Amino acid sequence: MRERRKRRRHRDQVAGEIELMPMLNVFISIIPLLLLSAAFVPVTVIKTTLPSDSAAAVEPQKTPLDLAIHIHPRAYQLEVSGSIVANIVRDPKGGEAATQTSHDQLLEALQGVAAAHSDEREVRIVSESRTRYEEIVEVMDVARTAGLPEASLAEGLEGS
Amino acid sequence: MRRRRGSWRRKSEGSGSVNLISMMDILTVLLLFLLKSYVAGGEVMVPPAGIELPSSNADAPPQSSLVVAIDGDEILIGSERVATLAEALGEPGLEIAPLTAHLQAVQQQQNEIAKLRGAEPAQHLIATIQGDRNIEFRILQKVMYTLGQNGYENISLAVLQKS
Repeated sequence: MRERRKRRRHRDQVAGEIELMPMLNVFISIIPLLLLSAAFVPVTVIKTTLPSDSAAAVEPQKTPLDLAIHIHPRAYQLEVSGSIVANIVRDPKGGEAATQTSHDQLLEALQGVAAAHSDEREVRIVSESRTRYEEIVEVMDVARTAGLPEASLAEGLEGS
Repeated sequence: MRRRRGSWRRKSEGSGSVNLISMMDILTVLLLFLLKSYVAGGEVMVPPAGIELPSSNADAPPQSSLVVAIDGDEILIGSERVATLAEALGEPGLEIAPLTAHLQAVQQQQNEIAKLRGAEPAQHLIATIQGDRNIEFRILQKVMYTLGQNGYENISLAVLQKS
């Protein structure tokens, strides 16, 4: 009797093992698929709007500040209502790559203007035709940090 | 009796009972993590191969929209090639004619789908530009102008989020 019970327990243990192989097969095919398509560096967007004809027809309520940042190969220029208020050399050593210092200076200048006009949210970024996209995005970042999130893009004259 | 027990042992060795439970635990956790990152991410935008997006501290999530990609030498809508940069730059004026043709085709298709669904065609169209970080402003300007001329007034620039 005891012998028989022992044998039954043995049989139960064998039957109790779950068949894991099919599940494992599924996992092994799903996980590489998910890993490949997972975005580990999140992609975000910067929203810009184009001036539409209908928007242009509406008269602005107040005189616009017309704040613009000019990106020149060697310098950033900050323009307020048609006059240049700041000229920031991008690289003191004479190169064309923008340095962190020049970004900080631009940020300071923009924050100064933004503090004086607290309701101003728009800034025009005037680039030359050969300005690289990355530089424009960097300037947009600086403007957003300074509290001017609505950047629009414009083209300036060469060599001005 | 002894014979029977012997045969059982042989069978259990034959089925190769490697202990898979711990591996299953790892895989289950990994699977849950990956699925969660999908669900929490909302619209997931994967930059196409060959395009190095600029990095920015912008944090607006991408929306589902028409995607125009600009890489080192071509303009693409979705994964379809539209024009080479040389062609686009060679065009007089700001509008890129092949891009206009493609955008109108896409718009017509969307209007037909909207009509079949019984919905109004969309008024404010959204486009996302995935541009390589080294493209020049003149090409970006042309693409933006062409999009604007074809009713895509809300334009998003795709960037990689700085950590």
